[in-house]
Amino acid sequence: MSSIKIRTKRLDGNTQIRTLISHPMEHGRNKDKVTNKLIPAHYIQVLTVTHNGKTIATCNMGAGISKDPYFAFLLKGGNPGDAIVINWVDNLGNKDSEKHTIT
Amino acid sequence: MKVNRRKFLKTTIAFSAAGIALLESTLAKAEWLAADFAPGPFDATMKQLLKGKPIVETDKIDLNIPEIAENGALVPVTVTSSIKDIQSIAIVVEQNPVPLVIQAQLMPELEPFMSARLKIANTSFVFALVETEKVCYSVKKKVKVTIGGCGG
Repeated sequence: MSSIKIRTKRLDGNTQIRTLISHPMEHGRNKDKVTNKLIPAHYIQVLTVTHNGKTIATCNMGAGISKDPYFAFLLKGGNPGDAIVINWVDNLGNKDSEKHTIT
Repeated sequence: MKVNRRKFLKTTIAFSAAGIALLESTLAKAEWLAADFAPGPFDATMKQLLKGKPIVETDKIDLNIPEIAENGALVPVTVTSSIKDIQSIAIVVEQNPVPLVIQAQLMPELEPFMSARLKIANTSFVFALVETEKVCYSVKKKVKVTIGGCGG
Protein backbone atom coordinates (compact mmCIF):
# COMPACT_ATOMS: atom_id res chain seq x y z
CA MET A 1 0.00 0.00 0.00
CA SER A 2 1.24 3.41 -0.82
CA SER A 3 2.33 5.66 2.00
CA ILE A 4 0.71 8.68 0.34
CA LYS A 5 -2.92 9.71 0.45
CA ILE A 6 -4.12 12.49 -1.82
CA ARG A 7 -7.42 14.34 -1.73
CA THR A 8 -8.47 17.13 -4.03
CA LYS A 9 -11.38 19.49 -3.74
CA ARG A 10 -12.66 22.22 -6.06
CA LEU A 11 -12.81 25.58 -4.28
CA ASP A 12 -14.06 28.70 -6.14
CA GLY A 13 -12.45 27.72 -9.44
CA ASN A 14 -9.26 26.56 -7.73
CA THR A 15 -8.30 23.08 -6.66
CA GLN A 16 -7.12 22.33 -3.17
CA ILE A 17 -4.61 19.48 -3.03
CA ARG A 18 -4.19 17.86 0.35
CA THR A 19 -1.80 15.07 1.07
CA LEU A 20 -1.06 12.89 4.06
CA ILE A 21 2.08 10.75 4.08
CA SER A 22 2.87 8.10 6.63
CA HIS A 23 6.49 8.53 7.63
CA PRO A 24 8.29 8.51 11.02
CA MET A 25 10.14 11.83 10.45
CA GLU A 26 12.81 11.05 13.06
CA HIS A 27 15.33 13.86 13.54
CA GLY A 28 18.03 11.72 15.15
CA ARG A 29 17.95 13.24 18.63
CA ASN A 30 15.27 11.04 20.17
CA LYS A 31 16.25 8.07 22.28
CA ASP A 32 14.70 4.65 22.10
CA LYS A 33 12.93 4.17 25.43
CA VAL A 34 13.84 0.48 25.69
CA THR A 35 17.45 0.32 24.49
CA ASN A 36 18.33 3.93 25.40
CA LYS A 37 20.10 4.36 22.09
CA LEU A 38 19.58 7.23 19.70
CA ILE A 39 17.07 6.54 16.97
CA PRO A 40 18.81 7.34 13.67
CA ALA A 41 17.51 10.24 11.65
CA HIS A 42 14.91 9.23 9.11
CA TYR A 43 12.97 12.00 7.44
CA ILE A 44 11.64 13.11 4.10
CA GLN A 45 13.94 15.55 2.33
CA VAL A 46 12.21 16.36 -0.93
CA LEU A 47 8.55 16.29 -1.86
CA THR A 48 7.46 17.12 -5.39
CA VAL A 49 3.99 17.71 -6.75
CA THR A 50 3.31 17.46 -10.46
CA HIS A 51 0.20 18.48 -12.34
CA ASN A 52 -0.28 16.77 -15.73
CA GLY A 53 3.44 15.97 -15.80
CA LYS A 54 4.65 19.48 -14.95
CA THR A 55 6.29 20.04 -11.57
CA ILE A 56 4.33 22.66 -9.67
CA ALA A 57 5.95 22.43 -6.24
CA THR A 58 9.28 21.25 -4.89
CA CYS A 59 9.48 21.22 -1.11
CA ASN A 60 12.81 20.79 0.63
CA MET A 61 12.29 19.96 4.26
CA GLY A 62 14.10 18.99 7.41
CA ALA A 63 12.99 16.90 10.34
CA GLY A 64 11.07 19.88 11.74
CA ILE A 65 7.97 18.59 9.98
CA SER A 66 5.73 16.48 12.19
CA LYS A 67 5.45 12.72 12.07
CA ASP A 68 3.05 11.57 9.34
CA PRO A 69 3.31 14.89 7.50
CA TYR A 70 0.33 16.72 6.06
CA PHE A 71 0.58 19.33 3.32
CA ALA A 72 -1.94 21.38 1.43
CA PHE A 73 -1.54 23.40 -1.74
CA LEU A 74 -3.91 25.43 -3.85
CA LEU A 75 -3.79 24.92 -7.61
CA LYS A 76 -5.03 27.73 -9.86
CA GLY A 77 -7.81 26.30 -11.99
CA GLY A 78 -7.57 22.58 -12.49
CA ASN A 79 -10.07 20.42 -14.32
CA PRO A 80 -11.66 17.07 -13.59
CA GLY A 81 -9.46 14.36 -15.07
CA ASP A 82 -6.17 16.21 -14.44
CA ALA A 83 -3.45 14.03 -13.00
CA ILE A 84 -1.71 14.97 -9.75
CA VAL A 85 1.40 12.97 -8.86
CA ILE A 86 3.19 13.33 -5.55
CA ASN A 87 6.69 11.91 -4.94
CA TRP A 88 8.89 11.92 -1.88
CA VAL A 89 12.51 10.96 -1.20
CA ASP A 90 13.92 10.58 2.31
CA ASN A 91 17.44 10.79 3.71
CA LEU A 92 17.90 7.01 3.50
CA GLY A 93 17.06 7.00 -0.19
CA ASN A 94 13.59 5.49 0.17
CA LYS A 95 11.00 6.92 -2.14
CA ASP A 96 7.34 6.63 -2.95
CA SER A 97 4.94 8.06 -5.47
CA GLU A 98 1.19 8.23 -5.81
CA LYS A 99 -1.10 9.31 -8.62
CA HIS A 100 -4.43 10.96 -8.18
CA THR A 101 -7.03 12.17 -10.66
CA ILE A 102 -9.01 15.30 -9.91
CA THR A 103 -12.73 14.57 -9.86
CA MET B 1 33.26 20.16 -46.54
CA LYS B 2 35.68 19.02 -43.88
CA VAL B 3 35.80 22.49 -42.35
CA ASN B 4 32.02 22.60 -42.21
CA ARG B 5 31.85 19.29 -40.47
CA ARG B 6 34.42 20.47 -37.89
CA LYS B 7 32.48 23.66 -37.34
CA PHE B 8 29.23 21.78 -37.03
CA LEU B 9 30.68 19.42 -34.47
CA LYS B 10 32.21 22.24 -32.47
CA THR B 11 29.03 24.24 -32.30
CA THR B 12 26.92 21.22 -31.37
CA ILE B 13 29.30 20.29 -28.58
CA ALA B 14 29.39 23.88 -27.34
CA PHE B 15 25.59 24.12 -27.38
CA SER B 16 25.01 20.83 -25.64
CA ALA B 17 27.57 21.75 -22.97
CA ALA B 18 25.76 25.04 -22.43
CA GLY B 19 22.47 23.15 -22.27
CA ILE B 20 23.77 20.77 -19.63
CA ALA B 21 25.18 23.68 -17.63
CA LEU B 22 21.82 25.46 -17.79
CA LEU B 23 19.97 22.33 -16.74
CA GLU B 24 22.33 21.79 -13.85
CA SER B 25 21.93 25.35 -12.61
CA THR B 26 18.13 25.07 -12.56
CA LEU B 27 18.32 21.70 -10.88
CA ALA B 28 20.79 22.97 -8.31
CA LYS B 29 18.31 25.60 -7.24
CA ALA B 30 15.74 23.02 -6.22
CA GLU B 31 18.24 20.61 -4.73
CA TRP B 32 18.13 19.64 -1.08
CA LEU B 33 21.09 21.39 0.53
CA ALA B 34 22.53 20.05 3.76
CA ALA B 35 23.74 23.57 4.58
CA ASP B 36 20.15 24.86 4.62
CA PHE B 37 19.12 22.22 7.11
CA ALA B 38 22.25 22.28 9.24
CA PRO B 39 21.64 22.47 12.97
CA GLY B 40 22.82 25.87 14.09
CA PRO B 41 21.86 29.30 15.28
CA PHE B 42 18.91 31.06 13.73
CA ASP B 43 21.00 33.92 12.29
CA ALA B 44 23.24 31.56 10.31
CA THR B 45 20.21 29.80 8.79
CA MET B 46 18.65 33.11 7.79
CA LYS B 47 21.89 34.23 6.17
CA GLN B 48 22.09 30.98 4.23
CA LEU B 49 18.45 31.26 3.16
CA LEU B 50 18.41 34.89 2.10
CA LYS B 51 21.54 34.72 -0.12
CA GLY B 52 22.02 38.48 0.18
CA LYS B 53 18.42 39.44 -0.54
CA PRO B 54 17.02 42.20 1.69
CA ILE B 55 14.37 41.16 4.17
CA VAL B 56 11.20 43.23 4.40
CA GLU B 57 8.57 42.88 7.09
CA THR B 58 5.12 42.99 5.60
CA ASP B 59 1.46 42.53 6.45
CA LYS B 60 0.73 40.91 3.09
CA ILE B 61 1.51 37.45 4.43
CA ASP B 62 -1.01 35.72 6.63
CA LEU B 63 0.64 33.28 8.99
CA ASN B 64 -2.05 31.23 10.64
CA ILE B 65 -0.67 29.34 13.62
CA PRO B 66 -2.07 28.82 17.12
CA GLU B 67 -0.66 31.21 19.75
CA ILE B 68 -0.55 28.44 22.31
CA ALA B 69 0.40 24.99 21.07
CA GLU B 70 -0.42 22.29 23.57
CA ASN B 71 1.70 19.74 21.78
CA GLY B 72 4.86 21.03 20.14
CA ALA B 73 5.21 17.86 18.07
CA LEU B 74 2.21 18.77 15.97
CA VAL B 75 1.48 22.42 15.24
CA PRO B 76 -0.67 23.14 12.20
CA VAL B 77 0.45 26.13 10.17
CA THR B 78 -1.01 27.82 7.10
CA VAL B 79 0.72 30.54 5.09
CA THR B 80 -1.23 32.60 2.58
CA SER B 81 -0.06 35.70 0.81
CA SER B 82 -1.28 38.36 -1.58
CA ILE B 83 2.22 38.98 -2.96
CA LYS B 84 2.51 38.31 -6.69
CA ASP B 85 5.21 36.34 -8.54
CA ILE B 86 6.52 34.45 -5.55
CA GLN B 87 9.27 31.90 -5.89
CA SER B 88 9.16 30.10 -2.60
CA ILE B 89 7.63 29.97 0.85
CA ALA B 90 9.83 29.02 3.79
CA ILE B 91 8.98 28.41 7.42
CA VAL B 92 11.66 28.98 10.06
CA VAL B 93 11.33 28.29 13.79
CA GLU B 94 13.78 30.40 15.79
CA GLN B 95 14.36 28.07 18.74
CA ASN B 96 14.45 24.72 16.93
CA PRO B 97 17.79 22.86 16.76
CA VAL B 98 17.40 22.96 12.98
CA PRO B 99 15.67 26.31 12.42
CA LEU B 100 14.59 25.81 8.80
CA VAL B 101 11.58 23.53 8.67
CA ILE B 102 10.47 23.67 5.07
CA GLN B 103 11.22 25.58 1.94
CA ALA B 104 8.71 25.09 -0.83
CA GLN B 105 9.35 26.28 -4.36
CA LEU B 106 5.95 27.05 -5.80
CA MET B 107 5.48 27.46 -9.53
CA PRO B 108 3.10 30.13 -10.91
CA GLU B 109 0.42 27.43 -11.34
CA LEU B 110 -0.07 27.40 -7.59
CA GLU B 111 -1.70 30.07 -5.45
CA PRO B 112 0.62 31.46 -2.76
CA PHE B 113 -0.80 29.12 -0.17
CA MET B 114 0.73 26.33 1.84
CA SER B 115 -0.28 24.36 4.84
CA ALA B 116 1.77 21.89 6.90
CA ARG B 117 2.34 20.59 10.42
CA LEU B 118 5.49 21.49 12.36
CA LYS B 119 7.48 20.40 15.36
CA ILE B 120 8.36 23.27 17.68
CA ALA B 121 10.87 22.54 20.46
CA ASN B 122 10.27 25.53 22.73
CA THR B 123 8.25 28.68 22.95
CA SER B 124 9.59 30.54 19.95
CA PHE B 125 9.02 32.97 17.14
CA VAL B 126 7.89 31.32 13.91
CA PHE B 127 8.81 33.13 10.71
CA ALA B 128 7.15 32.76 7.34
CA LEU B 129 9.37 33.93 4.50
CA VAL B 130 8.01 34.61 1.04
CA GLU B 131 10.75 34.95 -1.52
CA THR B 132 10.34 36.93 -4.73
CA GLU B 133 12.97 37.63 -7.34
CA LYS B 134 14.50 40.59 -5.52
CA VAL B 135 13.37 40.64 -1.91
CA CYS B 136 12.30 38.33 0.83
CA TYR B 137 9.15 39.25 2.73
CA SER B 138 8.75 38.04 6.26
CA VAL B 139 6.20 37.86 9.00
CA LYS B 140 6.65 36.44 12.49
CA LYS B 141 4.42 35.17 15.24
CA LYS B 142 5.17 33.96 18.73
CA VAL B 143 4.02 30.46 19.60
CA LYS B 144 3.90 29.30 23.19
CA VAL B 145 4.59 25.60 23.59
CA THR B 146 3.54 23.74 26.71
CA ILE B 147 4.98 20.33 25.75
CA GLY B 148 8.13 20.37 23.63
CA GLY B 149 8.37 18.74 20.23
CA CYS B 150 11.69 17.05 20.90
CA GLY B 151 10.54 14.33 23.28
CA GLY B 152 9.33 11.05 21.88
